Amino acid sequence: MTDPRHRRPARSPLDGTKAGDRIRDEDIDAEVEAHLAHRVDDLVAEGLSREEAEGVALAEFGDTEKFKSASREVKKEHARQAERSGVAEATRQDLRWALRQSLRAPGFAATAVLTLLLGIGAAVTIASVVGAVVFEPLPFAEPEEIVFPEMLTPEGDRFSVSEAVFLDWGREVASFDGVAALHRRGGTLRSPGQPRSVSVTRISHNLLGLLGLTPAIGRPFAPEEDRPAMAASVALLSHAAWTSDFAADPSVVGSIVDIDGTRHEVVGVMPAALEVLTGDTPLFVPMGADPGFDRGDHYLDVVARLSPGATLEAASPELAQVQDRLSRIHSADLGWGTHILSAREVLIGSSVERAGLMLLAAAFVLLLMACVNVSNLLMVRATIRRSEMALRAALGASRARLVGQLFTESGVLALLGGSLGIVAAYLALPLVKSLGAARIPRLDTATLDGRAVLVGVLAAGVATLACGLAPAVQLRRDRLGSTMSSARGRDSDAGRLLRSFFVGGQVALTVVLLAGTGLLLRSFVELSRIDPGFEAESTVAFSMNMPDGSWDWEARAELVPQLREALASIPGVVAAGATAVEPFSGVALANFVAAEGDVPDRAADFTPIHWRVVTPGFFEAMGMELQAGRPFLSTDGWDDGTPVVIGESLARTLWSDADPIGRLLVWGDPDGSRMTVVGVVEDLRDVELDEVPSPIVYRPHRQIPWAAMTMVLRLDGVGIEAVAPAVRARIAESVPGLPIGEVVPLTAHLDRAVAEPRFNLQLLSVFAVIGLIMALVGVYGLTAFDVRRRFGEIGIRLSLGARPESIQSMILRQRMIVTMVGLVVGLAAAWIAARGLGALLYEISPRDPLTWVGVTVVVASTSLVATYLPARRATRVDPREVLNAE
Amino acid sequence: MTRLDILQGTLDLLVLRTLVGGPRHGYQIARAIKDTSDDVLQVEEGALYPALHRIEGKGWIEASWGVSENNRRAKFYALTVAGREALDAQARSWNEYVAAVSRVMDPAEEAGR
Repeated sequence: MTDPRHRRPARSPLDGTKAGDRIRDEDIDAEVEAHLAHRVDDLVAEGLSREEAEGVALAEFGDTEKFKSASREVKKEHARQAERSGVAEATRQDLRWALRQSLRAPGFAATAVLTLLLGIGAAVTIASVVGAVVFEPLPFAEPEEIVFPEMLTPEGDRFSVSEAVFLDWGREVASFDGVAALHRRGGTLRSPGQPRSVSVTRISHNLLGLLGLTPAIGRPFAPEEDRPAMAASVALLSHAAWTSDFAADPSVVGSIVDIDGTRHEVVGVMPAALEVLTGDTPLFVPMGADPGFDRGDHYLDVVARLSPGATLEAASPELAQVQDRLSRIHSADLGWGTHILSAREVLIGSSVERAGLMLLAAAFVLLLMACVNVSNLLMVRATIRRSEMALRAALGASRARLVGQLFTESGVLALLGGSLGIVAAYLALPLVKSLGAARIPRLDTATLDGRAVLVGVLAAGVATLACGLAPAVQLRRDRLGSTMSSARGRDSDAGRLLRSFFVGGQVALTVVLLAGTGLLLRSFVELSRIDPGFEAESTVAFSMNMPDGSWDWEARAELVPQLREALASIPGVVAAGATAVEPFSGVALANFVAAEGDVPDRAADFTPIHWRVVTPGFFEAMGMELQAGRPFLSTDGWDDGTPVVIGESLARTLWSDADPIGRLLVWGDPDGSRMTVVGVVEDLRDVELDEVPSPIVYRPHRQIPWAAMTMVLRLDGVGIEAVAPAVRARIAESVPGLPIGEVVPLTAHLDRAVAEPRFNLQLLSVFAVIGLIMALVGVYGLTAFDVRRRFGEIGIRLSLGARPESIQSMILRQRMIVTMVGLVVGLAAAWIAARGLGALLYEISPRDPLTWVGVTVVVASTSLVATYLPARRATRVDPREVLNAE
Repeated sequence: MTRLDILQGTLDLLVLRTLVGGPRHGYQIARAIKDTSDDVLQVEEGALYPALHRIEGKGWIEASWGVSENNRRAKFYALTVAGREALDAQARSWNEYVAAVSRVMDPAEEAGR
């Protein structure tokens, strides 16, 4: 510091020591004595006696001891201050100062900290979730080499693979280093515990090795346990089943489980990492894929690892060639194609990825808004504090010291807001996870992400520090005297412009958030409005299994009507019927049909369909409307022309407007069975809610007595709580030993179907609300500040006779211009950004007029309120009070 | 004429103003404030000293022992550069304050200007 004006007065080296204390006390005594002596001199000169004079002087001076001790206190304080010249002490002082400042303006501090908390909390929570769901590499060795080859139907739909084709691919495709397969099916776990219907996944023995995984305990399946058509009776447990059903007991290896009546030895436990691929299946058995199996039976999911140097793009044409040759050699799958998907696409999904990125963007918009808001608050304070800074500089505080002080002040805010934000994220994370647990892959693995924490804190730090230091920067520009001359601190044009810019920007960001939310909301409403083709309310379902070991083909065909009768007699159950395909299970059986009389020469030209086996009573239980003909009867089987019921879209496809009842359906290929259409039912959306329903054929259970069925019950006037125990009791009574799954409401299945869009919507809505509040606070705060700032001007205007209304409208006008600019900019930005949302929207265009008008109205009216309230205060200004305060 | 108690900030201002003419000791400062305000502004003389020491701590004035006109030892206070600036600033805002008050109290004058 070269400017001598800013040097503090030199201090006695004795200050702050014991000796210094003594000398200081004597100094004060001497000074008081000198004062009294001078007064006595004057009074004596005026004619008083020395004694009288001493009395008067003492009286005029007041309580000498009181003033002496007050002086000592003042001096001691200075000595203490002089002592604290170390940097550490300066920092401590700054911290205390910062806290005191915060306490002095609790509204300011609370707003700033809360704003940062919300911004950082949201950003960290979402970044943690999106990090785990989208960015985290898949838990396999070299995950980018893992691909999912599939078949494509002649129509170009993705389709699963037959056992023989899976084995052929493994041998013949050079681009694949290895090929593994999975087949999830129903099964019955008889022991340990009560018999229950569970899902069992058949896997090829090489699956774990191909993914680069090893069992948590025990060993994987050996190649000799997976010989074609001769799978050994061994099993692996899923990690989840091991921990929940076996208390993670390692001695489970070597124990015996009874699957479908066959004793299997448990050889190990799968690693938890596999669950991203296999879901909640608790049991794994060797596949024993059979090359002799019908190539038309497609039900395997295939996983492959690319050979070193091979790419997905290079593998695709090779796989297509291999498959083309296979199709010709075996005259099977003619006209079909192949398709290779990356592991990310299959296991995470492009819609989840897209939604994740959207949420991440939204969270960072929020963080940006929080930073802008805090910056604004700090800038406003900076203006107020310019005079304080100038004064402190005048008193000899070095600029470095002032910067340090402001730095500490902003740092305290950032630290407080940041750490509370992280705590908030920590608390919010489980909540967010529970919101979307049903359908979002890997969501349950989300933990607080260190990188997200870093980004959030950095952003907050930059925002607070950059703006927190503004007063010091301004100080450099201002001439000291001129700033100090206005004790209330004058607002600079640049400051006002910057603040207006910030408010406008905030309004714009809010528009973007609200527009995104509005579109998702509209889309969600549309999605919820979809008629799934069945009545989910008052319908419950449970799975049941009639495995080969206990019931043969005929026994099953007899068992089901018997069961239906037993269940239908439960009070409150008005209809009961079973289906082989659980609604929304993602399972689809496919085949091909043609209309008799119009049969193509090649199977490839047949119409692809979904099909499933159902029992009489199923349509009724689901509440599906019969459009023509009749539903299934308990006598329907292979007799009487092999009756089937078809969905309305298939009826249209095959026979357009003609009456399909009594017509013949050709099954599979030109020589396939002829089946008689006896009824037409409305289409069912139970694969994906937002997918167009496929053409479908229902076949009666007597034709193909399926082992694993889902029984659906339609209730009237009773709840699931009452029915579930009755169902168990009735089944235990009529068919002892029949394993059934949990009785669940069908709405649970529907919920699962809308889980992901609902998850997106819920999070984005929270963001939008926080964003709107921030914008409100921002606009309100700045207008209020503006009004306060102009109290003097307003007071004068009022005292000069201006009407309060005209002052109010002046302020409204000035502020609303900024808001309107922000609104327009925000609408433009959101309009562009909305294009990215298109893929996440159902039946709603990103240009949905209702959303855009709604957003405009909400933002405009919110800003109006936020401006109006402080503007109205301006009209209540009492000129006298204002000028006194100045 | 009523006597007004002196507000603390105002006392600082008055002390600084008193020292513009040159260094003075405590008793002189007390007298000067009393005299120049025609005895309206009354300060209990002892109260001056903690105030002086506080202002000294702010670096606006510097103290040194010297010999007074009565040939007595006395502590003299002198305005520093920072004190000079502080006085200017405070005086200006004081004047603005007074002007604002008088504008409100007598709007006619304002309108006539």
